[in-house]
Amino acid sequence: MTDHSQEEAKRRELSVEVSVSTTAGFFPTEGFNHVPASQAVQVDLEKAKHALHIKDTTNWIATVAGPSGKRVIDPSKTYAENGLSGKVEIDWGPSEGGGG
Amino acid sequence: MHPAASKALFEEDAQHLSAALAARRGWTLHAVAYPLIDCSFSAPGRTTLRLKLACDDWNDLPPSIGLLAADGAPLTALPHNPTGVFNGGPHPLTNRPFVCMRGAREYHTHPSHVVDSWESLKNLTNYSLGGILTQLWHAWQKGSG
Repeated sequence: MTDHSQEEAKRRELSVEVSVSTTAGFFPTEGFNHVPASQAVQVDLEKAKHALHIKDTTNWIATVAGPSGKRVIDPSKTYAENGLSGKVEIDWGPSEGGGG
Repeated sequence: MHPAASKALFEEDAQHLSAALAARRGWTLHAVAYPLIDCSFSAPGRTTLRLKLACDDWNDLPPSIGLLAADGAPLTALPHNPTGVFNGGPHPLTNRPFVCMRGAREYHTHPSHVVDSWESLKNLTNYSLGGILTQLWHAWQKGSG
């Protein structure tokens, strides 16, 4: 393996591809953004909020699909700390209000 | 509200309820055309829940939300759900199970909640049409069966 391809492999290992879906649209609009796995998820959620003109994200939760269904992730933690790698599809929206 | 204004608000709100979003969430959008949103929630191991949101007079009124089986038949009994959002009822006006959550017409017209005004919610992001649907989806995901 050349130095260049080793660097590329390392870069891929240290980064994730991220797409955020909301009912106001997707961020990015198509495809995925490459971001460091060491970056907090919140950074991309804030970018999505701005890009999609979402006024208020109070009580919103971020979820990803896993082998046993959807799971909630912690936006204050990094992708790596949330156990995320490769292509990451984050769904973001309001948690349910109280009922009954 | 004038029907044309209501339709314009509906279409602005519903424009991002797309096939791509539905695919990612496991939704089936049977219809998104004023004044109706007809949407099913599905997931592995779960019984599909179909919701019909009647959005006449949106957003002076919240949507009236019908709880249906996958084939469109009205639900007569609800699967287990710990959130309290899906209420076996019967609702005093519809005589059916209903959505007991802020943002559903059946909640705001229920005698227990008539003091909880829709007016104070209707312009909040979480109570857009997509916001209400997302809240219902999250509630449904917490259930089983």
